[in-house]
This record gives sequence, C-alpha cells and structure tokens, in this order.
Amino acid sequence: MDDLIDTKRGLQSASMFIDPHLYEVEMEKIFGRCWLFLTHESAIPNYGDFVIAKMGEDEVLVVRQADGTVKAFLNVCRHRGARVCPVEAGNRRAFVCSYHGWSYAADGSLATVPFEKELYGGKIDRCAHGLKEVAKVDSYRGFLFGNFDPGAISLEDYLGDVRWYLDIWMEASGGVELIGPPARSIVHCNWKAPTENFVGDAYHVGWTHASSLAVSRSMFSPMSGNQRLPPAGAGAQIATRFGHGLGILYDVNPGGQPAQTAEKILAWQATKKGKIAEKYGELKARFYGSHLNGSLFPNVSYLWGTNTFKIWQPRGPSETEVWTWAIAEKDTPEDLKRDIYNGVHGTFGTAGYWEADDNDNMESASLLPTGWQSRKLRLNAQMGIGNDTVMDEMPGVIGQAAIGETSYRGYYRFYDEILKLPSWDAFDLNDEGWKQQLIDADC
Amino acid sequence: MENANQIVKTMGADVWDGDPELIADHDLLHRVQAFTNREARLLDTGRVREWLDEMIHPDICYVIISRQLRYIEERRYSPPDSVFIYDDDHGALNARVEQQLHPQNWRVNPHEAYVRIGTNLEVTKGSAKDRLFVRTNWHLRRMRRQYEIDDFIYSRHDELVITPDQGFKFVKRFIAFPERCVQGRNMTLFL
Repeated sequence: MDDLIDTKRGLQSASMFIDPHLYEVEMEKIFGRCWLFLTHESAIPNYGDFVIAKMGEDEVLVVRQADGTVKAFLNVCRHRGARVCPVEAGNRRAFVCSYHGWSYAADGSLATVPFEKELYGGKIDRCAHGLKEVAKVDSYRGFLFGNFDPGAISLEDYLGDVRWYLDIWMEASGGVELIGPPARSIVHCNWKAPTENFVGDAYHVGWTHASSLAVSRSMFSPMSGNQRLPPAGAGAQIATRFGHGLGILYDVNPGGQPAQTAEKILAWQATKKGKIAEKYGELKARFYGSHLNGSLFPNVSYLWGTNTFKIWQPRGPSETEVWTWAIAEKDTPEDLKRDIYNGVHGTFGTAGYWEADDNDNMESASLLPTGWQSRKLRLNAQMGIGNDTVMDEMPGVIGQAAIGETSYRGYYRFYDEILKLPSWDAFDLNDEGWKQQLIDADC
Repeated sequence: MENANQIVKTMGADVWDGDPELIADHDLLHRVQAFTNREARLLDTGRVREWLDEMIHPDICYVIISRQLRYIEERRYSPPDSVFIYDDDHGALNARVEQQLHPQNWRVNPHEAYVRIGTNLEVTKGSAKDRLFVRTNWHLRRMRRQYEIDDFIYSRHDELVITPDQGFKFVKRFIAFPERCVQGRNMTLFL
C-alpha cells in the first residue's frame, strides 16, 4: 500500500487496477466511507417512489418517505439475505421479499412475517430485523448521495471546493435534471480507469477520439488526429481536497455535441448568460459557457457541455457497470432537450461512438497488469507537474493549461489519503497541506 | 422522453402484439428473406457504406431502446421507462458509417469480425400499401482483438418500403433490447 501512489512525483502503481486484495480494501475504506451518488431527487418526487442504486457492490433501495425525506436501505432481506426488490424503480408502500414473503414498510421497518405467530411463536425481534439503513443520505442541488459511515463528514464538506465549480451548472444554470432512466452496460475495466480519464484527461481527446471528432463536426473537431493543440490560455485543470477534479476548455460549452445541436445550445445559452453574469459574476458566466469534464471521488463523472452524467459501478477489480444519464437545464425547451439527449446517447451512451473509443483504452490499461512484470510498472501522470498553483479567483489547485494532469494527481493524492486514513475522526478538515503536496510535486 | 409502449406504437411494432395476418406469398417471402440475408452479409463483411446507400431508406427511423425494470402492475410511478440506445435518422447513421470507415478509428483496426444469424421471419402488411412489417430474431456475435467475444440476441421489428423495381428499403427498425444491462461492452454496431 505504501508505494501504491507517489504523489510527490505524480506516479501510480499499475497494480492498482488489478490487485484483488486492494479492491477489497477500496470497498471498505473508500466505498464504505465516501459519499456515493444515489439518484436525482426528481426521480423520486412522491411518497413511496423508489429507485435501486449501487454503493460499491451493495445494492440499495432509495425511497422517498412520507415526510418528504429520503432514506436508503440495503436491498437485502433480513431473513435469508435474498433481494427484496427486483425492479429498478417504482412506487411502493411496502416491499415484499419473494423468498418467504417478509415485507418491509417504506421506512424500512419489518412490517409482516408470514405465519409469524404460528412459526416463530412471537420470538422474532421485529425492531432488529428492519432493512439495514444507509447511515447518511443527503442532497446537493438535487443530487442525492449516501454514506455508509455514520462518522463521515457532511456531504457539503466532502464536496468542498468543488462546489464552486458544480454550482456553475447545478445552480447558476437555473438548475439541471438528469434525463433517465440511465443506460447500463458492462465494461471490462477497473472502476478507476474511466473515472481518472474523466477527471482530467483532455490529452487523449484528439487521438483516441480522432475518428469521432472527424465525423461529428463539433466544436472539438479541429483537435481530430492531434492536428491542433488548444491555444495557450484555452483552459485549466483543477484538483480539490477530496480528489474531485475537473478540466475546463473555455468558451466551447457544447464541445462534443454535433454541430447542429451545438448551434442551438449556444443560442439558448446566450439568452441566459447575461443574467448569470449579473448574479454570479463574469467568471462563472464564462464557465457556464465552457466545457467542463470532471469526476467526483470516487466514481461519478460528468461532462458539462457534452451533457453526460455517469457512474462507474465496481463489479470486482476488472469489471465496471456504466450508468449514463443526459444532463439538461431544467428550463431547456423540449425540442432542444431531445436533441441534447440524442447527442449524449450518440456519443457517450451504450451505442455512443466516443464511449466505444474509450472502452479499449480502459480495458487494456486495466487488464494488462495481470502480467507479473506489467503490474510492477509505474503509471505516469506528470504532465504539467511543478506548474500547479493556487489562484485567488478559483478554488483548489490549478494547472493553468487546457491539457495537463493536475486533476489526475489530485484524484490519486486523495485516493492514497483515504486508503490510509484510520477513520474520519482522524481527518483534519482545516489542514491545507494537501495543496502544498500538489504544488511541490515534481518529476 | 417516452414510455416503451408509446415508442412501440410509433414504430408500428405493436402490430406484432396480436396475431396479424401473415403474408403467405412464397415469392414475396423469398424476396424479403433474400433482402434480410443480404443485409446481414453486408454488415458481417464491413460493407457498411453499401448497406446504408442501397438498403436504407432516406426516411429511416432506427430505434433501439432499453427498458427500465418495473413491476408489471406499477401504476403510481410514471417517469419514462425507456432509454434510447439508438434514435437515429439517416444523417446519424451516416455519421456512424463514416466513423467506422475512418482510417483513425482505432477500434476497427485490426478488423472486428461479425456473424449474424437470423431466423423466425414473419411478414405482414405494413402501414401503407407499399410497405411490409417484418419480424425476425437475431443472434449477432462480435469477435475482436485476441479474446473479446460479445453476443447480442434480440427480436427485430422492421418496416420495409417496396421500391418501384420490386426491391426493398428499410424505413423503420425497432428493437427493444432484452438485456437491461448490456453485457457486450457497447453497441457500436448495426443490429
């Protein structure tokens, strides 16, 4: 574990993509303690509405309560451990296990046990056999997260500096919705491989996606085949305290959308930018019209501009289930919303050609370290190292280049920290030393 | 977005919900079979440009959905239950063909190999006099790189336009893909 991540030099061990023991540690230390995305509030507006979500490999039932709050429970019957709810979404006042018929109320309490009196003779402790509740559930701008650790820091603290950037599209835009249900598919890669890619890999775009860029006739198309680098000052890379990071390409918001849709989005955004600048300032208004690629630690990714929202659900060290939604501003006209939706699923959905471009890289990077020698290699995230800095107007540690690996380094800096952290009690929220770690890093 | 039942109707695939009168004209059936066989051959052998130009109608509506799992008796929960994996017109299909043929499409170099096995052909009258609804079942296997094998098994609901020379063009394709979570990595291939 000690030599897994070298934050000082921006290196990571290739074995982190394949090691089954490490995977178990990740489930305990990361997925057992970090805030994990569950669903969007709009998917469960009414009492009894529910969706199934994943927290690591645990399946959870996320249910709107009678008082309007949301609770989440393991989708596991407390009798013999069978799945309680076999569907993905719906509305129920009670959930009945299909094995022996134990049923649970929407608040997770054990409601009925068939032949309870006759077969158990009144000896079953109902209070101890409710569905196992997820310790914490909280919402940020409509995005619901859960945390298994009752001692975890708050969601707001956990998002920390990245809220400043999330607020650009989650709040200043007027609010967003996730258009569901999600597309779902299996990729044979480690869950970190796509998450690290989205956190800050603008480098691969021109090359991996050369053919997709060429045919999409999008604002990103001039990068096809690495014909052109973004000019100096065209963007930035941002790393934050808890591994959340992003990359920005200024003023090209609908970057990956096909040309026709991009034109419509630009026209739509032009109607809103003035008001956003007035209320939130010129910088945030500029970011609203920029393309953001980012990940929230550990396994959420988003593209603001290509309107994609993804979860990378781990299924063992070498398999990941991908869930993909389209993001749309709530007040977007319906016809444009549909164009955006088609743009998302045509690029990053199950049949999206950008998605398929990425699959091979993520799978091979994840699977080749099964080789005894290959797993001993160090992976390199040194681009821009030594140039990271802090800026007054933007929170976090900033790499001042459109293409760089600052946010990779930030992601793995926290990955290393959380793996070694004994408990949240030992965590000092006010410690700013993490910034210096990144700024002082060098080859 | 819409619910699956609405999409099925829009695509005309609800004709197969009952028992429509099947066409028994052996010559016509043979020609339809030959047409679908040719499509499978073109797609299996990478001739996607010919497929699009010669077999696909300019008004093509090419739809593949994935349906969220819900209780059969669900009444109170109404958000859309379907994801459009494909919702392509001719222009979108053309972009996919261009991408497949692009020299910098690293995925298809080395070539991917495909085998399509089609069966259960049924044909009935289409939505207009010069149209036919065709239902078939398919097993499509994609083999690529050294070890990758992806299988796609599905029922396909097509509508064909009969052209003036008594040939055909696909004008609608609808597939409700039966795996909720697609096991085959991605679906950047034509089903």
